[in-house]
Amino acid sequence: MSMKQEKLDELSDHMFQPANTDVLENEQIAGESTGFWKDAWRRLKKNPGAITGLIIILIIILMSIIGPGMNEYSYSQQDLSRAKLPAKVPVLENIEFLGLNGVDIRGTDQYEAKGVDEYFWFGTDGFGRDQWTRVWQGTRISLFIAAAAAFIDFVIGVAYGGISAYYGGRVDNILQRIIEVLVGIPNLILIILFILIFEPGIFSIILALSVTGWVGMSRIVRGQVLKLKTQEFVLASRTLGATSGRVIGKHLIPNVLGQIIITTMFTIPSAIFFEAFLSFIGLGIRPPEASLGSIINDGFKSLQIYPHLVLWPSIIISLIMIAFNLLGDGLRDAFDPKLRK
Amino acid sequence: MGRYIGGRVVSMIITFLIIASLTFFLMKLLPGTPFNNQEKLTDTQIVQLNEKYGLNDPVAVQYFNYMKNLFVGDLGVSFQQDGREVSTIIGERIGASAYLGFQSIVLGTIIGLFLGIIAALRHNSFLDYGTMVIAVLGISIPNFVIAGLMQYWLGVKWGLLPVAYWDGFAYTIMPTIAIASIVVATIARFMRTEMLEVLGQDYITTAKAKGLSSTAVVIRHTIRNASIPIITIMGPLVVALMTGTLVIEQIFVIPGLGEKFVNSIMTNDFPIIMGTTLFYSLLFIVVILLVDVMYGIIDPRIRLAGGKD
Amino acid sequence: MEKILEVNDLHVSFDTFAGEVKAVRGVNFHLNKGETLAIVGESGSGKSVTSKAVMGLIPNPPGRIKQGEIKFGDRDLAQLPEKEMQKIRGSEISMIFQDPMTSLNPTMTIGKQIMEGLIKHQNMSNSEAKERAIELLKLVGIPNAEGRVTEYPHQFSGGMRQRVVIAIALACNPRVLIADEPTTALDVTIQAQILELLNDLQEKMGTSIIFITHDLGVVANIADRVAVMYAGKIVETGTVDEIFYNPQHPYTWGLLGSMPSLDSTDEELIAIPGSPPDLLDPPKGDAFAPRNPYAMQIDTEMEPPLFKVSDTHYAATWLLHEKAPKVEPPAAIKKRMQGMAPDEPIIGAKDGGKHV
Repeated sequence: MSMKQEKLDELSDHMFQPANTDVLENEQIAGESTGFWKDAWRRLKKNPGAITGLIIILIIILMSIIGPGMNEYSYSQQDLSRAKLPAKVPVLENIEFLGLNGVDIRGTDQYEAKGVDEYFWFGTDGFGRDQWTRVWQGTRISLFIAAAAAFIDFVIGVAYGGISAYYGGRVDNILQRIIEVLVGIPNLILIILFILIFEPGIFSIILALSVTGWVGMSRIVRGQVLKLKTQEFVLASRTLGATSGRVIGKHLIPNVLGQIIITTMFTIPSAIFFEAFLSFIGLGIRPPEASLGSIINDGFKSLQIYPHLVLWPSIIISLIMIAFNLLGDGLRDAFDPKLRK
Repeated sequence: MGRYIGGRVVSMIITFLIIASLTFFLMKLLPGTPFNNQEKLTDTQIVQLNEKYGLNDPVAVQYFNYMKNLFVGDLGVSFQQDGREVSTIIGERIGASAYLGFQSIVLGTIIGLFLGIIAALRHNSFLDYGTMVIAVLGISIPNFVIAGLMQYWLGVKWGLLPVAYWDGFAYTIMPTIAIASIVVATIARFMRTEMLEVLGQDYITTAKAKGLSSTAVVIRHTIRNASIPIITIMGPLVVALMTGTLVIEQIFVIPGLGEKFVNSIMTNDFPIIMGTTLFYSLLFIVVILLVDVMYGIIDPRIRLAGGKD
Repeated sequence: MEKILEVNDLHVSFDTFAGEVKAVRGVNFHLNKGETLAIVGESGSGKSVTSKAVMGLIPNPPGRIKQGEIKFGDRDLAQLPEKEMQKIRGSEISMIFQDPMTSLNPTMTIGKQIMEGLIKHQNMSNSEAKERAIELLKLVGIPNAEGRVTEYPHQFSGGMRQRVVIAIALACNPRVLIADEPTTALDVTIQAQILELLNDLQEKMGTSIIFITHDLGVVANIADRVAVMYAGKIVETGTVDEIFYNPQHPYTWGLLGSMPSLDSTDEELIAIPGSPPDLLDPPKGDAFAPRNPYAMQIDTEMEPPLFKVSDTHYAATWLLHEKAPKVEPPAAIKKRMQGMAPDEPIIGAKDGGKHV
């Protein structure tokens, strides 16, 4: 410790005068406080996957609105003289590997062979209907079914879960027993039976998807409300004199709403999948109406020769599913950074 | 534990009875007729057929007979296949479906666990991100899209694998991949999360402080504990698998139960729809029960909690 | 006295998104054979990081030992490859953790958890290791050890679990035992029992202990020497008597002043104002200066060196410089220092505890 002892002796006297230190300066909290939604949005923006998902969803929604009107063909207009044409797009037709030049897999230019001068951007189906118009029309219907099913899930689920948690006791007990039985039945089976009874169509599909769909939502709402009822910060804010309105507005809604949004984000792709699945087993939308699932199902019949009939709607449905899953994951992380399952 | 299982079995039977009744009454509500080629049948023939299958009895009697037969495993006969036993038809068809389902879940679980473990151990590396991309794709892309893409490219275009039918191992590869994709994705994702959670636990530090090698810490303490909760997602996975076989068997023309079920829906063969529905429901209920019991056996915390009851 | 462990100029940093957090900034201390050294400081002072560095358990990334040496015998643990470190961990140096509720694997019997180290380090067979595990459980005072060896952690209470953790740590007769706040998560009565157990075991096995704590009451009960840490540095080190009766650093005064004592009820506790500095960007000069009512100009400009008070007692404060004004500790703390002695137990006791 004799180190630098001499140097230390050289230190001037004024160095040993008391320093002006303001202790309280230390106590300040750094950083500004941000609101729940602002904070969630900030975290979401940092997640490239979620933002990509959001953009894809917006583009697909836009296309489902304007896509069917972008050319002169209607989704149900048949013309056998131009049936099963491959895709052909102006300009892009010159780039050979894209396969958008109207040449089918056997190497024949079908447009030339059939004497068709028009361009069908996604080709045509077995009845000569424009696939582009049909795919976006189908997207519109698939999204509508999913959104409607998600909305019904939301209404029933929030009401059921909220009532169950709010009243508690016997009401809660009975409502939860009912759910237990419902959960014991594979929802797939229930959906199929339900559609068999009603005629297949948009509304019976929406109803069938909602028969069991709300259970998940109601469980989440009930769980959140019950958790919040007993959570210490709610107790703390009550102790500090917060009114019920403030507890609901400041604690309950932000926490529950976040969970509800996340659940909805996963309900939509699952509804789209189930709708497509129903089309596959012959219980979907009836022609001439089309959904993405029914278009893909139709295409499968001639997959080996006309793969384009399956390819385009498959890409769209996959994009929708991926986009919603990415956005759902991103929202989950944004609303609750601790919960990463 | 014994009492716990007993209670579960009772509630399982009740659920099954509810499903059976529900199925029966829903079937009675169905529009249309159960007979094939109705327009070719004369009125007397229809009366005879109704008589033969007891369809003229009051619904209550029909329900009673149906439930009674159900108890002895008699699911009735198919009206459209010359009165063949539904249980026989299910028996013929279950083999291919079971093989496909089993192969998919075993393969999918192994690959999923492997990916999840690697991703967690190499957290935030290229491997981790790669696995996450595979998981999102596997969960998102519908199995029929995967099936279609494979069928076209691997089957038609490159001719690597048979396009369809059921005639040996090569025929099982594409359907298995299509069904297993969701299993791989779900398990990889779940395992990764569990692994990361366990790796952050204090007892992992304790294990390292004992001087165990990193391999021993990973295998004995991390993987072991992280894989226990995997059992809980097996129930939902089996359902996803069932959904998968319905569609995939249709696409690849596999003579399984799923394909039969879909065809009976298209031809209104009610006894087969009912029988298959009940069969699937029973399968589902039994799997859920097994999952619960297995979880109790494997996790000592639950095992003892059950034992003290 | 034989030095068993010597830490020289240890720097440990963590790379975070916000930048490099300098958790340990040049720590020197040594541990003598058979003694108990207490490292005292508040949360975030770097005491746990220091102990993890000795164990080679700094997670990398984000953490790394930037410089310094950790001499254990003729080896420098800071440089040792992981494989070699594994041989030392659990056999020559072992560690007890803060929270017994989470530091045991919930899905493995406690017997297996004790046996793991024995099988690895002492090449014991399964049955030998099991016998030794039962012996160890008896040693740490677990009744019916033969029956309990096959039970799972959740079947034990917190205090019993901490005994199991101690049994795991002592399994291979380590020369150094690092106890990282081993009693913080326990009830006060259980705390006393665990401290007593550690004292007993040290007597029986001659282990040297590094005892990390923020509780000076515990220090009085168990330590021979004390090192006080603040903001990643040791600010004062000395024997227990020196630290309790003749503290030199204003931070040590603060710690003593903020400690409740049983025998004097009329005094109020004296809190240390402010909070510890941000180690992302440690302040220039003495890190304690902003909270120090006796701070001088020089404190804001230069870091104080360690001034020698006696052969065993050093403190890093400019107040010990000959040109500094003579400052006496606040009266309340002085009074408290009188009433406080290692011989007069605060919680449980070194000797008195045996009668609890």
